[in-house]
Amino acid sequence: MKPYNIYLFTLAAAVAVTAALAGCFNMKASEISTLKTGSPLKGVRPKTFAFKEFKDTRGIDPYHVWGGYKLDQPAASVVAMVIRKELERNGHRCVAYSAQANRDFIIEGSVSAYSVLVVGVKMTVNSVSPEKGMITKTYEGEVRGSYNGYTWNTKFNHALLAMVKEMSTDPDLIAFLEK
Amino acid sequence: MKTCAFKKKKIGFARAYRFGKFLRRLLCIFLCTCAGSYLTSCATKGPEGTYLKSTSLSRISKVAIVASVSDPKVNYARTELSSEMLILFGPLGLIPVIAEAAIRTGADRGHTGKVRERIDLSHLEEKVAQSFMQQLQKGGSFQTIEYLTDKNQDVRQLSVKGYDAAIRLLVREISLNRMGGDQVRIDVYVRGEMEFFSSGKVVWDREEHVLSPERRPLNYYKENGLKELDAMLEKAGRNLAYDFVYLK
Repeated sequence: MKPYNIYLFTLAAAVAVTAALAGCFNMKASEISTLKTGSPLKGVRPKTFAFKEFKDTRGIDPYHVWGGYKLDQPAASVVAMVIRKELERNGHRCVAYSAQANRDFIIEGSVSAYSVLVVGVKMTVNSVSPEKGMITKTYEGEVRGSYNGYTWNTKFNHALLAMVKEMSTDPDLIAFLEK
Repeated sequence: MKTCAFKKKKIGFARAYRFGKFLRRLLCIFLCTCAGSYLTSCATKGPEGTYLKSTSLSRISKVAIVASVSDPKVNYARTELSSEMLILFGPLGLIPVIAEAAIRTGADRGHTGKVRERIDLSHLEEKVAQSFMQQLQKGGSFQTIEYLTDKNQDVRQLSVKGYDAAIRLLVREISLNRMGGDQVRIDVYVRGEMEFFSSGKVVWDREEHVLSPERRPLNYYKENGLKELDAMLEKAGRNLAYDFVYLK
């Protein structure tokens, strides 16, 4: 093997390793799965939810998760997306907020945690009819011991889904939506 | 002279060639290891379960519910190391932390014993089963749902009694976890499984993890532990039952 071939090979290897590691450290929002468990949200008559843009109150890079891990979308958008998916999975309609859009409820949220194994969001659901009012709740999802041996990506995914499950099975929220 | 120089040059090339070959092998091994670890880490799936399908319950009308609880567990002395201490005193900073953890371990061991004495496991079994059954009855998922206190009946015995399936709820872990300082959280893991007798297949198998809503001092749990635990078991039973009630 000629010396310049060794350099070329080293360069190709370095590029391949960097690409592989970059793939592992970047978390794609599109790869986040949905819940498969039953939710009382399905028992609520179909509603239309208008989503306002979620805020990130963590005070760090909005894409940052933990260590070298980053999301391909801002954490606040990812959290809003999974909540939206959950509502749609249970037969509800979700639209982006606009003054003209027809809706039953307006959802606002702020992400308080999206870090090592914990995802937290403070969510406010406003009803369009003033007599029904609004509800504000904080939902947290956490991954603990039984997930030992799984990848960070899997753990983050499960923390996110645990947070969604908290929201999806919250009796207070269900009662509010059914009012 | 010329020949000698040529020989030297030739030896130099041979060495470079051997070194290149060695480097190439090394890189190959490194690349294979990287690719392997990348593939295994990114391809690992999460703790999946077996979820119900709309057809899963079509031939099931009479169901037996059996609940059991494992002994409570205390994960003591999970004291978080103070980073400031490490920076200020280096490894010596660890000594008071380790000593404190050891003292707490002893205290927690004593407390675990008291927790075990105070917890009536059959009460917890009933709690999770009742919460689960309440939801199933509301949802009208089955014609007959019966809670069995005798856990030792096998599939044949239950089949003879006319049951089509058995749902087993196992509270596989109740743990008190120190989160640093005196703050404690409770974790409850409840596993649900349903076996359809005629096919012998497990049509539903998944786990529900419930975490106490807040971190509280250990003393709080001495007074309110059982009340908190009841609420958590109720939540776990209810969430598991939602799979049947809100089946797609």
